[in-house]
Amino acid sequence: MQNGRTSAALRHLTLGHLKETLRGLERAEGFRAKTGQAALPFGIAALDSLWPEGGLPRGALHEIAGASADAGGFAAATAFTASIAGRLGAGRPNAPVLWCARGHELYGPGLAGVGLAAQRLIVAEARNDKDLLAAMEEGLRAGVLAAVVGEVERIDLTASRRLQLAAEKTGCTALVLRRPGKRATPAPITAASRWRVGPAPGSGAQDFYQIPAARPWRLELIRARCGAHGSWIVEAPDAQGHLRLPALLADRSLGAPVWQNVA
Amino acid sequence: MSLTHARAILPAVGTAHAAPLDDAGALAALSTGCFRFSPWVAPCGADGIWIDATGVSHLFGGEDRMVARIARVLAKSGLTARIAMAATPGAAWALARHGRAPVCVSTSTHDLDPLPVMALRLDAGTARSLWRVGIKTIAALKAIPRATLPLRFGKLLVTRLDQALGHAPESIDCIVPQEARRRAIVFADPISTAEDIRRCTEKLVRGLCEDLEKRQEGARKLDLVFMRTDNSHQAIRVGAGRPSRDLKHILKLFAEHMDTVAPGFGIDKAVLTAWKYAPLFPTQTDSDGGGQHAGDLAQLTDHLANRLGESAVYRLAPAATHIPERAQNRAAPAEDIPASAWPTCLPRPVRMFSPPEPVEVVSLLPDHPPARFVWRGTLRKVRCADGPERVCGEWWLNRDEVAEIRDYFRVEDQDGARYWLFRDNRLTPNQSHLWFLHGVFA
Amino acid sequence: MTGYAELQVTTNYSFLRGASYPRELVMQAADLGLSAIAVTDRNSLAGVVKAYAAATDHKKKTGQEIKFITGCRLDLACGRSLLCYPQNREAYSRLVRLLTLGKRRVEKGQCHLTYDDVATHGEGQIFIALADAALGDFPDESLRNFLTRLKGDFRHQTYLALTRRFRPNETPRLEALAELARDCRIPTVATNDVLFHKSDRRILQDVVTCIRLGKTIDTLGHDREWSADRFLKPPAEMARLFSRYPEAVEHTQAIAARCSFSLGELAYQYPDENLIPELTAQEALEKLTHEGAAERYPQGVPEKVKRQIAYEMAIIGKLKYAPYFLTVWRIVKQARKIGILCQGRGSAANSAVCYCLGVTPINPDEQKLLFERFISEDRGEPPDIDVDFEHERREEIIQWIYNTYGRDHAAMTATVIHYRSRRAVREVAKALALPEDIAAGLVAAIWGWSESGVGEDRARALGLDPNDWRLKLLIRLSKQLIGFPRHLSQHPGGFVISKDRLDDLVPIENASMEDRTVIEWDKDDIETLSMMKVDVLGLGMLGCLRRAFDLLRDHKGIHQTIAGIPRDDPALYDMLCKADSVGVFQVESRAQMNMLPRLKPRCYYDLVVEVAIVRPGPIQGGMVHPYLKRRQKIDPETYPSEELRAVLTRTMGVPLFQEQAMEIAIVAAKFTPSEADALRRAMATFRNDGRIHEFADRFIGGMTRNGYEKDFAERCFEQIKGFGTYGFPESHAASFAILVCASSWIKCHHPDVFLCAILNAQPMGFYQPAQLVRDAREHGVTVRPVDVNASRWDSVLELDPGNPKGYLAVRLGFRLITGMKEEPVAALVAARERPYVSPRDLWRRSGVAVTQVVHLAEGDAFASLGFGRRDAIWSVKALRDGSLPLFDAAPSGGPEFAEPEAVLRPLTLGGEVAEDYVHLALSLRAHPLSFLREKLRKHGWMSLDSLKNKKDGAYVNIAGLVLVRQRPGTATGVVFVTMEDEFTHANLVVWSTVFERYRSEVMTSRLLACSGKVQTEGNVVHVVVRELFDLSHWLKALAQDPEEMSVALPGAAAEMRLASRDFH
Repeated sequence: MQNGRTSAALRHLTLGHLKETLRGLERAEGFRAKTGQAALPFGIAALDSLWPEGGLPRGALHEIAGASADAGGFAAATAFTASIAGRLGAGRPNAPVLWCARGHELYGPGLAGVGLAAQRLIVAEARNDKDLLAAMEEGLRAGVLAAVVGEVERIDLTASRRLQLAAEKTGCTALVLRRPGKRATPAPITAASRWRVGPAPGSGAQDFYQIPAARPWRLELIRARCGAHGSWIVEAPDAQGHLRLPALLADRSLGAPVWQNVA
Repeated sequence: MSLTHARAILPAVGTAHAAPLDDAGALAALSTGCFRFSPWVAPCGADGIWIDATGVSHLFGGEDRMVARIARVLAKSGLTARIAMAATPGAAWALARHGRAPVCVSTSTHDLDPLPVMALRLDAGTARSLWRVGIKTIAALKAIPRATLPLRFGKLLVTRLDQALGHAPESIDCIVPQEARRRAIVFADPISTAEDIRRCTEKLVRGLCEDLEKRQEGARKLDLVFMRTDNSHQAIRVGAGRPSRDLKHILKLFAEHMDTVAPGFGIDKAVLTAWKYAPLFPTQTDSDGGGQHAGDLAQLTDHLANRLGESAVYRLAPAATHIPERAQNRAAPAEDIPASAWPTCLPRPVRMFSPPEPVEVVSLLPDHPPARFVWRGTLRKVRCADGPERVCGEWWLNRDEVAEIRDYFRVEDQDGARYWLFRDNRLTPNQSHLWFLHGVFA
Repeated sequence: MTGYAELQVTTNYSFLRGASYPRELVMQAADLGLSAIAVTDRNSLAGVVKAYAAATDHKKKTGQEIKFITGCRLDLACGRSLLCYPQNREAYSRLVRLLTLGKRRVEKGQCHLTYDDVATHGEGQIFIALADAALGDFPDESLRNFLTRLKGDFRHQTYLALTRRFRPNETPRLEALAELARDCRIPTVATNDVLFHKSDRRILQDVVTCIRLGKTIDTLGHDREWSADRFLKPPAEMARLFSRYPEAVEHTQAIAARCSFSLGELAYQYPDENLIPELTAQEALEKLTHEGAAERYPQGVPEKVKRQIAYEMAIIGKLKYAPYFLTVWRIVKQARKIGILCQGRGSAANSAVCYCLGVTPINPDEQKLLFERFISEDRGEPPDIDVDFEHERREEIIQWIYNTYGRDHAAMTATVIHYRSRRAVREVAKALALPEDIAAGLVAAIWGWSESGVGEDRARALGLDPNDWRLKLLIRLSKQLIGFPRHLSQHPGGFVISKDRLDDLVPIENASMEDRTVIEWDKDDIETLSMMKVDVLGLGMLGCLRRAFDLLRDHKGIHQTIAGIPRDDPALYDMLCKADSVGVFQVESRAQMNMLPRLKPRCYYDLVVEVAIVRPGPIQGGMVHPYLKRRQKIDPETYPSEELRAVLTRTMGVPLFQEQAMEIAIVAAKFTPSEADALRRAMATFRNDGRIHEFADRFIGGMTRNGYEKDFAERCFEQIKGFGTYGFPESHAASFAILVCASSWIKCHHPDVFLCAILNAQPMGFYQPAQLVRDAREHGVTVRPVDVNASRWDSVLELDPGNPKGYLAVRLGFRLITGMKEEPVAALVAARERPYVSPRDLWRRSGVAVTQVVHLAEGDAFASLGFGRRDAIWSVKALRDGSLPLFDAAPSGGPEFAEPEAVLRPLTLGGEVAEDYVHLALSLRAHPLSFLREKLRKHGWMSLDSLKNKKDGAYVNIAGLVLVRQRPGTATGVVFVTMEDEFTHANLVVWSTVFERYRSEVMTSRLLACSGKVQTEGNVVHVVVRELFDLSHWLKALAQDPEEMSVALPGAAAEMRLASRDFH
């Protein structure tokens, strides 16, 4: 079952590294025994069934980016990241989330609205990506956090590998939130999964004076170690951080399938 | 005297808010500085310092000279002080606070006679009771048969009298309460290399941590003072978000600043003191890495703050206000954030621009949502909107906010992105309204 | 354009919720062109009468109607709220009963109602269900169930409110509510949930919210109302805001049309008093009046009185007021029966019937009565009889009324407690989180009843920066808050009694005092609705007189009554002419004492004038000096016109009484009687609402048109303004003059009895016990100190064989000792079968707690046992309550303790005096200033008796203890300060300009020094102040023993209690 997850990383590793990685995996195994699960289910069968573990693997690095390089895409990516980070620690008391930020635009009330409560959030502002990655790594290694989020613009393979290793070692989940940058396509990194998320166009407003309560997103899994990929229309997370599939009736107006797995 | 009364007398009187914590900090720092006079120094109440001069006065050439020296040193730092040296702590306390001379060395217990009974460290109630029956001075009190006193004024009165007169011992523990939280090393040969300083620091920290362990305490603020042969001193102060007695952690905190220590012609004494300490009970340390406790988190945030800057690591503390940008405050990472946060019935963006970004808007008056707007050079057509959510300024903060009313709108553009815009309802000089984009929804 | 009626309005009578007065809301609604306005305060009808009156006035004045709908917001225990509007009189009664039910269940100020209560009282009401459990909430199942239930119970009486909140998701929320209403077949109705009449009250709204919740504005947070839009809006704007729901706007009109009930329909009926079975009330009243007349006039009823009675009876009969008179008669009879002194006051004293019934003391044979002032057919205003009872025993009468008429027919009137300056500044400061210090400083110089708030100048005087934003807000907002109702309290004695159940008319709630029930309306409301009330008031002097009569009977064998006191005793007038009036009812104030020697009263009517003249009316109207000059025959008696001669002849052509001012309005300015009365009432209202200028123009204009001088007209008007709030009608002054007579007579002939009685009736009057005792001693009465072996709780009379004037001695009572309680004293006196020998002996035999024995020791009550203050305290300090059995094996009188003897230093005389003042508020030993005399002399401050030899205009420097500060009536006038030293009293006059400069000295000093000019007039001496100095700190030195170290005790324990009394 670790096949998909480790194959990419294994290729470049020496034996020593291999041993260490195995130890890390064992620890992750032990961690799973302790918490009862090594993965974070989305609660949506179509997504959860993509992974053998039944959800997004913990103790790994995941990358999330906006579907478009504009503010709307980044906001959606932020909310998606926050909802995952929020749910990652939700079962465990006092499990905080370290959010390594590059600016001061984070807005607590909005984050709380997608499931990341203020009591669980610690923000660390870094001046550059280098400091930010170092802070992320320190956070991952501390072993006291549920998740570490990093708003990164540039990150290379080496850096991502370091984060991945640190995450595996402590079972803490690393979430790289890509800041929209000048370069069109960011460099590839080592990640257990890579996501694109953005508002789904075409939500049907019949009344100019009403914004529909439902918030449709297009969620795209570009690549995952398990080999899965796909794209779905989902509703933005609720205050507990749970995604939902749009209700059949309400969604008819969208003129699109309820959800589609293009895999 | 009340402030208004004082101002009635002297209108120009200056004011400053009382800051008891800062005062206590300053007093503690001053106490540290007094190590030069005696190894045993402690703050006394909110405005005094005990110095145990037993066996040290000869170093200064006698008691009178020692007292004079202390007064000189304090005067140099701009401090006016009342200083008394006496045979007992009680007598010294009485003479320093109630004696006639600002600086004195008592030679006889009769020096206490003319002082008021309050000089015996009595509570106001007891002092008032004595006053009622005409016993106002220590002399008058001494004249009363002591057997009659405890029944009427409590046992402590006699104890205090005896302590002042030297008839009863006064525990030295009481006047040096910091004892166990302090470690000191005196060097026969002054040290000066960085390696020596590091080693001596480690030794001090290890010893202190052991002391703290025994007492089940943790330190929150530590001072490491190096006394130099030239009678000056160099100090490093470090703080921990939560009480700690973790050797590695504390050493790591000191290590960041160790290069600031200049040994000069040599260091002959090093003292490590934990000023702020709190009970800290052993916690089960989980071996699996998944369990965690507050102490580890505090270490992490201490380290991050050390690296990124103290203000760069924070929590977002909810504030109860209608004004969106004031709804979150930065709080220290160790601070507890109340569970009740923001009202859930108000939709709020995940990212908020500060300051809000001006936008050009086409909309219908008086309170319709924008039909289209230009933000960062791009025209966006509004497909649907919600609002206004009317937010009134916090008029109590300043005059400008009295008239400030904002109408907030959530709008969705043709791409499905949702924005938070508001119109400032105050008219600009050319009779229009300003619009701003304040945040982006997920 | 469709009309709009605002149906959800919270006034400031939903205390600390709304931010506008009912009147403001009604006037604004009329201005905006609303077709109707309802007032819906929370579980209360406290504000509806005021709104009704405003709507009625508006119609009278402009001819335009704004329909007023009586309503109420019912907050149910389940958390749901309903607006309720009675459609007719019967429904109104049900609503009132519903509220009474909810209020009687719980403590004062609260109301507990369930849906079932509403259901049983719902017939004839219109209900609007509110959906705003939490703002922004969408309708849920619970609301649906609630509506279904309402619809089931009340079918076509139910509506659902649609209200714009200006919060997120407004459109879908309203849409969902409208849909829910459609589902339940309930029509919707638009409301604006109004909290204030204009948008600029928004800030005050936040402040009252803070005050209500006890928070500061900085911590108010989400409790702050989302209040931007909760003011009245014009119909067009409401139509625009509800353009999606035009039917909801139309329904406001439908509801307004359906609510035809008006408060004017409340036909109040007085209970039938069937006292004599076969007779009607009128016949019974006539019978009782004639019996009473026969008693009042044993020599036969004079013709004049007979005619007056017949005349009054005819009017009473016509207006059907007989039962009301019978009620008052019953109350007075009951009081006499249980031995409580009482006497009618106010306008009722104009009635011969009242005199014959024994209600009022004014003999119609001797005095001209103006019955019309009391009852007039034209005015159609109910009679108002006020009766004073002994203050301490009034409760007995109150409970008798409840028991006789029943709690559903009798209740006390409410008094609306309004914010005045001090409180407003304090609470606004607290809400703005300004330091208490600042608020205290700002209010320190405000006279208690001031309604003008504080100004920037005051802030500047305190050294505060008046440009500080919060301080500016404080000054502005506290001014706005002044006059706001804060809560309902009970009227000091106003009883409403009704024939029908009172809880059909007005909600009744529990008072904070036990066993009292209060209606929600105050006396203005009652007047608006023509309801009758009896005032059962308390008067300290009556208690004092009763005590004096008892003492006279017990100690001197003299049986005296108020009526029996001679009103022509020259000794009494001699005394008053000398201004020797300390303690005498009404004429003891400094201003009165100044007047006495000038007015030189020689007969009873002079006292009537004396009582009335030192009042704001005549003073403001500038009538005092003309009257005095005419009296002293300096000026001739002239009349502005022949037609006014009849009105003014008894006061030598100068109007002094309220009645005269009213008559001038009628005779000279051609007001109708009812207009004149409206004028009087307009002046009396708490806040004049701009109508004063209207009246001024009419009054002065009317008089000048009729050929009167403008100056005279203006002065008359000023006088009416002054009368408004502090007016004394002649009949009232006459009633009071009788008490002046009675108290003067006792003081004049029996100063011993007078002192004893007045000490036991404290607190009352102008002076502290210290001044009363001093005055009595100066008149030759021996006063003896409090003594554990001689005193009782009250002061008592003792034999004083050596007294040259034959007076008895007064032994001061334990009640004078601070902190002493009555029960332990009873135990102490009961166990005193033989004299106590020591504090310990007293403690052991009487079982009095140590704390109380300490008070006795501090009060120096053991002196006669050889225990000075310090010795006694020393001895008491060794006692421990509860240790009695253990240590008390030894028989009493045995050695107390085998403990060594402590020799305590005795107090100096100055110390004793200081302690006397601290614990007794007076000293029989010496005057405090006698100890400071040398120091004062050295500093050039002269004693007060030095004034005697000074010429008019001389410059003096004097110092004394402040006794009384008084600022008569007018807000901008002078301040009188009375001070004393060991020799005598002196009066300072502080003009307003000087006062502003020395505000702090005047207001806070206890020992005051002053430089000024002597002003003598006859034998009255004043000092007109130029400069003032506060020497209060000198008093601290008094207690100190020069032999002891001059060490100061921390805290204020050594401060002397030299209280002054301030009158405003």
